[in-house]
Amino acid sequence: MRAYRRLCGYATAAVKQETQYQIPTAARTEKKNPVDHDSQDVSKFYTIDPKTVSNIFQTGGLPKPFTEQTNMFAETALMIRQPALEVINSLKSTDFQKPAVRYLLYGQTGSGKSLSLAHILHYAYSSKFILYHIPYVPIWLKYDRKEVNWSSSKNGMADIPLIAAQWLKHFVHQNGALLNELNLTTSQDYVWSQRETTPQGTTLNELVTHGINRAKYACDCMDILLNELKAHCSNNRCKMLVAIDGFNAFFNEKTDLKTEDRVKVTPQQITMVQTGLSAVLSDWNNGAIIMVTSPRAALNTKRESHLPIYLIGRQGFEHIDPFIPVMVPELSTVEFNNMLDYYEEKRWLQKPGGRKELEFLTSKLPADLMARCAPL
Amino acid sequence: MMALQRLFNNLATSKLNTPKLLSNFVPRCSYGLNNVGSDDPDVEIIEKKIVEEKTSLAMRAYLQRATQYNSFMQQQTHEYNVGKRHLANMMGVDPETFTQSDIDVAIDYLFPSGLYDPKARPLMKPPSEVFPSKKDAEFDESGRPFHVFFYTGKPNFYLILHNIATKLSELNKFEDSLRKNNILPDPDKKLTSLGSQWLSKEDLEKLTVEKLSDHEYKNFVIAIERLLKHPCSYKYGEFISDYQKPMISTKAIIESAPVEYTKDGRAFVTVKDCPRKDARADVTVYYPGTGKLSINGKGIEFFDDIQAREQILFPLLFTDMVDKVDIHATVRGGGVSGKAGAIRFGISWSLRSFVDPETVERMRIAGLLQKDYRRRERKKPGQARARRKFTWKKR
Repeated sequence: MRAYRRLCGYATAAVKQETQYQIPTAARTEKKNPVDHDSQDVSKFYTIDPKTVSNIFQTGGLPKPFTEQTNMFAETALMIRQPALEVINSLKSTDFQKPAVRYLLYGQTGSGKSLSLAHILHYAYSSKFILYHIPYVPIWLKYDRKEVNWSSSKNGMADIPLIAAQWLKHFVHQNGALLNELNLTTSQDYVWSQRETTPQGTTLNELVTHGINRAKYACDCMDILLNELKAHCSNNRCKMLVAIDGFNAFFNEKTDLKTEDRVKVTPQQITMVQTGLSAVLSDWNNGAIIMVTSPRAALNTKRESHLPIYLIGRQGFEHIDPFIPVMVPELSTVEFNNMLDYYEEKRWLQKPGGRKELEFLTSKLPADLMARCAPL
Repeated sequence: MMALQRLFNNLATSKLNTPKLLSNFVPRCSYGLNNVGSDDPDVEIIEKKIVEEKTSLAMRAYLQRATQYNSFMQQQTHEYNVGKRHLANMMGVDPETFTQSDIDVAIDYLFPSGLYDPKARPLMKPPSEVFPSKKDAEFDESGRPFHVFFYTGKPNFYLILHNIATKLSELNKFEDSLRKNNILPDPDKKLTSLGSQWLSKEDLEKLTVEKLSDHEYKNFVIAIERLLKHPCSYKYGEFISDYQKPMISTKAIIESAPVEYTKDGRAFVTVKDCPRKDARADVTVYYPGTGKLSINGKGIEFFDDIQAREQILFPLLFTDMVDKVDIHATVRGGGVSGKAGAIRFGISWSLRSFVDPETVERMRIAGLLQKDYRRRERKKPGQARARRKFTWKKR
């Protein structure tokens, strides 16, 4: 009985405290379409409606901790930040008759590169770009026990058929409707084997479906798909956005993968990587290329700096040169306070105060801040 | 040698004269004769004889022990001196100018020890340092103790307590006489224990040359504190201060490090080689600043785990200087927590120059200004780690 009373006492105290303490509300913008976002909206939140989220990001694209958080908050709210806005603005004003422009997002671990990319992807999706989106390269190359086979079409190269098929599913999920609308077709016959051929004039959707069903050819299908899309873009039939997160993993020295005959393969030996590298070549127009380098995508031994030249090396630099580097910095003071307001509004942060402390401990890195506020 | 001779003389005489002595004076003069003056000429003669003859058993035992000890020490000192000369010759140095520190260096060089404990390493010290000295005789030849409190078992200690009690009652009388004349004891003169502490138990034991129990030491502290708190205690300030010692460590802490200035007039303090475990840090704190932090060229991201980050934050938060100073630190050696601890100490040590003395005192009490001398404990053979034992299996 006494324990119960004590509990009640605590509860009333908590209620009293709550009545005195006014929960702040985060600054939000009403513009749901990223096409409308401008410098007025910097550091404000905007909500992506759940349908769009499932259309773009259901099979990858948002970092896992952030996805968990959106489940908890029952909304996907992104903060509009300068780097993403910069890219979106320049996409708006690009002359698409010129070769595709390359952007490279870089920054410290946890500074919000992936979410900036998500913002840009949302913009591209709503502006009817075809998304050639690789959610995170290291999930291709890390973690052993993947089926790795020697490629039948390219000598000395290795395929990861199941992962490629998975990616094709991701591609169809993002672009299936748009491809149907545009009615893009193949420009030539593709002979997979003696029995299986894809004749000229097949829709790209069917091509991809074939790749998914016959996983053996999924890697080749990825390559063909890329070439077809490049050709269509150059012929002004469509627009395409190539987005690769964890781009620097292409230039790592090794992978965790082994073929069945126990040969270790390097990233450069993998057909999907070569496809990814050819996607960032600027030999097409009517589109843009966005790469994200991340220290976490690098090997454990190579994470001292977040600067791109350190992460991708000289070889990588020559491959993507020229490009526009876009630094994703830590939060500004306004952004930091708005972020904490948002957390307090969502009761992710239960009590006010201690902001100075949080600022010092997380050095205003949003991912750190999110993790730090979880137990508070 | 003199004492020895006398002892043997005494033994000889007492053996010879015992029957005579017993028959004459045993009932009356069993002890204390040398202190009692007598006018009677007859008695005087006999008294002299008794003094010669009567030596207590305790005294004899003591003299024997003392002789043994002295000859032993003589032997040891001789060996030490000879050894010293040998050592000097071995090292090719002049034996006359060969000092103790030279001996230590030579021993360290000639007998390098792989053993960890300093106590287990070979040494060569003067015998007086190696063998504990013996207490002097506490009684005279007839066995009568010199000290009034001999029979308390710890005469020197109880003398101190006795003195305190006497002084206290004197002070009470003094205060009474003041009050009779309508004078109040001067509150300005009142003594305080600020900045000093009582002699520790070990110190007191050294002073009294007696082994004390915790209980006895507690009694001493209670008594001397009561004397100190007396309004007229200033009268015996000197007596009280004999049992106090200053807090030297506090003084060193309060004296802050010298402040230097940059070209643009910002004050800064640099502390080199701040230790914690195997890590060493060089920390520079700039004041005023904006809360910038750089550790080996990185920010707080240098540390991945939150515990290390909080270590860095703590002194700044404690002094409310989070966004008022800039910190530049380079740290080397050790692991994560060692590095963090070293930087923490460096920050607190240099912050002393930029905060008021009260805060410094608070920092001291919080333990921010205390060097952490703890080191990694060694692994023991026959055990899994420093303390962990192997899984015990019956068979």
